[in-house]
Amino acid sequence: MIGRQELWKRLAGAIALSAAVLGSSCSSAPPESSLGQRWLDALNSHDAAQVAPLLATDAVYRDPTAQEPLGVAALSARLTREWTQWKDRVYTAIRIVDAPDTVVIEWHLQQTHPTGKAVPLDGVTILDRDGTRIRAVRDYYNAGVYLQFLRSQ
Amino acid sequence: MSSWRRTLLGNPVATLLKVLVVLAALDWWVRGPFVDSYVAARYVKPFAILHDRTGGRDLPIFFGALARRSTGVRIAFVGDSTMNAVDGLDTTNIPYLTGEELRARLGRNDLEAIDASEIGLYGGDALLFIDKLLGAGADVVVYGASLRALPRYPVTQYVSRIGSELSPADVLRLARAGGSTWLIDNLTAEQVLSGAVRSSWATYAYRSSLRSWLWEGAAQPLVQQWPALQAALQPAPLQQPVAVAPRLPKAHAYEWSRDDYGGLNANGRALELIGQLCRRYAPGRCVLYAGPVNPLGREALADPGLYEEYLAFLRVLAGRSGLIWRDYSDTMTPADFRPPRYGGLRDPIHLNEAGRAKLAQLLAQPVAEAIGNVTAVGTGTTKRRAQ
Repeated sequence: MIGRQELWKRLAGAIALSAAVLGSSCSSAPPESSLGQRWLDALNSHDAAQVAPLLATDAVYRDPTAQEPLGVAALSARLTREWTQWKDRVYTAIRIVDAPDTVVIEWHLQQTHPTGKAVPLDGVTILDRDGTRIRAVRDYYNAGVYLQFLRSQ
Repeated sequence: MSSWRRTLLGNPVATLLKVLVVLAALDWWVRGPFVDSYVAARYVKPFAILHDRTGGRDLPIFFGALARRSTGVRIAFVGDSTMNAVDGLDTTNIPYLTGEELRARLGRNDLEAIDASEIGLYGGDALLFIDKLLGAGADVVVYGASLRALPRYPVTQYVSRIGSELSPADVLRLARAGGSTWLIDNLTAEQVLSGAVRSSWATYAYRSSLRSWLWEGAAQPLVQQWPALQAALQPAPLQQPVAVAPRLPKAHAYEWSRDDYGGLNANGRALELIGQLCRRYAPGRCVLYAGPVNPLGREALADPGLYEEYLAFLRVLAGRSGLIWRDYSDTMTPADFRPPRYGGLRDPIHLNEAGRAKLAQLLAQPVAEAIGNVTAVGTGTTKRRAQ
């Protein structure tokens, strides 16, 4: 025997489900957890322990502001330093192109310098992958936006 | 049918039609002249900013007033007591001050700040508020997040009646954004049906205001000689006194414990849905910020690591949903916070007047960015840039 409360709950379910079915033709699913999105999620977590598992042990990271390619440990240290300074840094994917060996992420970056100045940035990251792990990361963006802070230092 | 019954009732169909015409005429009058002359005159026009004055108990007044405003860019601020002035003046709350700052900074007089904050607003209610605000034509939504809004077990006193105010269009919008499971788990059929009735039948939605109007205009003058009868018949005032934010007795060493606030519960899931709603219906026009935390005694605020996990959750959400995002956790000094009202040495999250002014200055920049994504403002119609 179904109780009155349970009956109400089921009826609510039916109504909401009907709405969902009606709207399903243009339903907006949450972003898929592709490798590209997982890479950005890991960066947005500000936790190096979430970034490292996505990388192969011999992965290499290249960035316009890095003087030389970095390995996993050096990248983790660098990211931790950056997150300390840029506390609200968040990447949003504009577009993720998923190819068999490569993922291309066009992104928008929001970040605020400790001085309070917002420093938005657009760029592209290319991830070379080997199965489920990332072998190489290459970032492309206008590193000139950071010069103003070097000068002020 | 006997002749006397036919004479008394007439044609049943015709009688039904007459009743429907009378009800429709009454509804038209309530929706138009009554709201304009009575409701707006009491709860909207006397105030510096549009805000729900009923403590979340009679929301048709607020949403009805919002839907009537058709010009300019409407910026709706959603949050809890950390956003509004609680017991201060409207002109000292964050929505009002941010609106002033934006008008000065952008040189525009067509910007209207709307205070959609409620004392103790939980994440689930914030989701429903934002859903309804988007349906009522808000152009920009600003949500001030607080870990306090994401408890596993909300205090019923601080759950608003927004769940009973959703129109079928509001339910459909949320379902389309991926919220059907959340709706099933968190709303009852009674709430859904009540929302459908209220949204289409103004006489029912404004029945509390009608009661007050009838009382003031007709009943009170008749019964004022009999105080006992007057006390029994007088309707409760719609305008609610300011309540304090929920402060439960602490069972833990920390204000926010992992037991009460850890993990992804219905309120946390609601925040994810806010992101999905914004991504679909207001791309580039939603601002999410983490509110300031008093640096004094911060180490006693949350279980170790909990606040950092919460901020990481917000950042991932903002990144995935394309929200304009700011973290103001560390932007204030102890002098920017209210004196403590519940014992202890400090208030952990409520800003004083000067602190609110500082936060409004900071908020103006990301909100201006969102306004920049609202383009081609015309008379009554706002077209948005597609992303």
